[in-house]
Amino acid sequence: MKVRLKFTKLGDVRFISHLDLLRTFERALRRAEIPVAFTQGFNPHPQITFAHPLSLGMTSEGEYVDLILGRDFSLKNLKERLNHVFPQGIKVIDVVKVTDDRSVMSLVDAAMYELCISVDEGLKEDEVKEKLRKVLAKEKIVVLKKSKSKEELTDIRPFIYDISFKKLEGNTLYLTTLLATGSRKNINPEVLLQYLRNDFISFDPDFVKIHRIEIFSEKNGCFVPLLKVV
Amino acid sequence: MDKLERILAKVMKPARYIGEEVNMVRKDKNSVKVRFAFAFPDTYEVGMSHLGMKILYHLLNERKDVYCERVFAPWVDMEEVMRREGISLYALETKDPIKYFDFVGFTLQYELCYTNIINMLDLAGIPILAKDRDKHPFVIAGGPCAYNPEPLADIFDFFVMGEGEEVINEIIDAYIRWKESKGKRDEFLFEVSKIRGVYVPSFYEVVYNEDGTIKERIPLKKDVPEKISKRIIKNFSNVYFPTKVIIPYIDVVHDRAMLEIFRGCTRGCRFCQAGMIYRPVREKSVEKLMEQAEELIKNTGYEEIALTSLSSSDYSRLGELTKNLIQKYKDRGVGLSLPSLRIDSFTMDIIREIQKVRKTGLTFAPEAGTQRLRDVINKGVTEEDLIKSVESAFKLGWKNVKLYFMIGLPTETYEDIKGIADLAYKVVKSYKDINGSKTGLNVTVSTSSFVPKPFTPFQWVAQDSTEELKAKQDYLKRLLKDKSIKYSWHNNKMSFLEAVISRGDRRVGKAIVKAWELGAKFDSWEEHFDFDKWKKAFSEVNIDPVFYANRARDFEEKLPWDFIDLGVSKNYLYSEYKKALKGELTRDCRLYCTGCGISVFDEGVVCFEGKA
Repeated sequence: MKVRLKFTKLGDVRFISHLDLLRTFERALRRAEIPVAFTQGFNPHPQITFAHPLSLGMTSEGEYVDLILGRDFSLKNLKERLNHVFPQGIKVIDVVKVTDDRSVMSLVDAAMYELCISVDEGLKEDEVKEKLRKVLAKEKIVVLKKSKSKEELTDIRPFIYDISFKKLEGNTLYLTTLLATGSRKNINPEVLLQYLRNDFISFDPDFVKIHRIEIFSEKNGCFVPLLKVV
Repeated sequence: MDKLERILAKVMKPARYIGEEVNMVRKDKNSVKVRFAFAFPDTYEVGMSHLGMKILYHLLNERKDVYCERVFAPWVDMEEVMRREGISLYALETKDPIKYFDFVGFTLQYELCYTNIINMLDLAGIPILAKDRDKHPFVIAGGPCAYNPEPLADIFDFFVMGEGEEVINEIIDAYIRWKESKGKRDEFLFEVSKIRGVYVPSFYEVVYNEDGTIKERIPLKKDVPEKISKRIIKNFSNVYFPTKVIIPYIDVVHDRAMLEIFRGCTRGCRFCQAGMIYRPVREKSVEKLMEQAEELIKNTGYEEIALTSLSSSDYSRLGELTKNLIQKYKDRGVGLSLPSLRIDSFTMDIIREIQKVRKTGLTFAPEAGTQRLRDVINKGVTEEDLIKSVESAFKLGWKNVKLYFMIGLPTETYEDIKGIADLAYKVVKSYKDINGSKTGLNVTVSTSSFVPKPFTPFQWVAQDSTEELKAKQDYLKRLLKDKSIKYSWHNNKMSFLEAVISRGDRRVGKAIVKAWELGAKFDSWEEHFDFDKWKKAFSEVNIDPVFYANRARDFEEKLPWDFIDLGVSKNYLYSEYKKALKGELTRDCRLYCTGCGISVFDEGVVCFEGKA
């Protein structure tokens, strides 16, 4: 039996890495006595698959993980038991049974983020909106993208599906963005922020909060939350 | 964003500094009488692997009137930011600065962590010297290195000798009484000095001879004990043991459920301090251990149970215990590991069982390369034992074997070093005989350098000079040319420093403080160890480190730790030393009592009474 969990990663647990999160899940599943299935072989490990890793330091209210269970199990029970044993900040929001046999990782096409930055005093809402319009009007946005092994110039414009103004509280600005995510096309929101800071909005790089809201799969030209692609 | 949050986004492994793990103890700090910071002078990953800390943390927190929190040495990047931003060293649970706590209790596991202790106190805003403290916490220490407390005599308000489970409660009780009586700092120290196991260094003065040896220790106060006796848990089977332990988020050194099967060791290896200081041997019953294992897995969800002790194969019901554990947990994906396993035919059967669930690494510790030298150190392992066990391991499909040795042992010659290489080649040959070729085989030969330790039969011997140790390592390097053998060795200068501090006196403490002033910290970490700073420190405080590391002592000499009584008599240690020089073995004391003195040390001390 395959199930998909939507869960949060909020507060201090944003400082634990993807690998740490996997271990946290393995142990929570054992404490909650969820009958998760094990792989075969010399080093059996529980069958847990996360949709898309969240960078260290980011929070989220829309993370996904698929579990293979060794036998049928009540979904309500599963959610309650896990929420009873999870550390603060990790909470199952929803759980569904999955019949789609594609891997959850392969479904990921986009993710929505909230970006929170500390801008200069006096910046107006209209100015921000105007700047964002300009960003979206560009045909090409070429930035230097760094990976572990190399640096290269990349056009990130095709990866930015949307970016919009959310609110301005004092000099704290909130933006919402929808970005290409997953194995086919991917951009880390930090790359976008770096570009905005260089060319559009000056902000303090020490006061940045990035929060993932949802992960989507593309279905018939629409972005659908992973919970609906089962 | 608050300051700490902002900083954490910029340091390596921020999860070291956040706390909030599953099973962390949460309390209302305003409802307790005593706030205790349990301090580990190394990184979070090292400290969170330590069983003693888990035991005392949870034991103290069982009390309603105490809140015990944890604090570790921040890594250098975090320290730098903390100093720059003016953040004082805080405890993980409440994030409150530890300078406001009642106690800061360090565990002393390794001499090369001592500069970290000073650094942590400084980062906490607590005066590093005991004499400069006033309204500050009492800074105390325990753990194996506390058995020679003298190098840290200026730093700590007091030390605790031996097992902490009972004495820590006596100290807390005395503290609460003292706090309510609104007494002076010194009055509390005098009160605790009456508790068995507690040593208050400021109540004594040490006078030296012209040749640098100790002349005498003079009590500065009336009615303080001349001898400090260690504490022993007499009813070990029923001693408190935590099963709802903290589960770290990040990968720590030993990240698994630890089940302590017994304390002490009866083997009597002559280089081994643990084998002497943790006497007598006391076991827990299989029934008790099965109960504790069940609670541990239920509360932690760990995927591995480690049976911990100094020499797991000596547990008298090991076969029964491992069988029961494997039976019970194999379907829940929980593996079993047995570190410190002495490999012989009996334990190979157990290893075969374990392997059905999860394959663990295989490590052998012959310690010395020839039978002659193994007899000197009383390591009763024969070459035949080793080769037989390796053979059965290879037959079971193992390809990776680690062999641990020490170089620089007393009476060692180059013949003994060559014996290490010979043994490694015999292991390779045995693999070839079984598998037809060397394909896939990895033999790792590791040598540490022998450090003579207090309270061992070798406490009087001189350590090899760093040059001698290096020559021996180079010789071994030349001998180990086979592609399937990898050789790794320990930094000689670290071993030298360890030898200086472990048998140091109060004067060595000045060098430790000086080295810290010169920037030494994380000395146990190769990338931070800077021997030049230490050399400079020794010369600035006029101390010759060679006097401590490379000088043989007479039996008559007053050793800095002689005033501590750990139950094993000095005469016994000396007779063991004499036997070592003659290559005479001392039998495992499970077979018959060898008269070390522990059985008559204190009322109610019962040694292992069964037969192995």
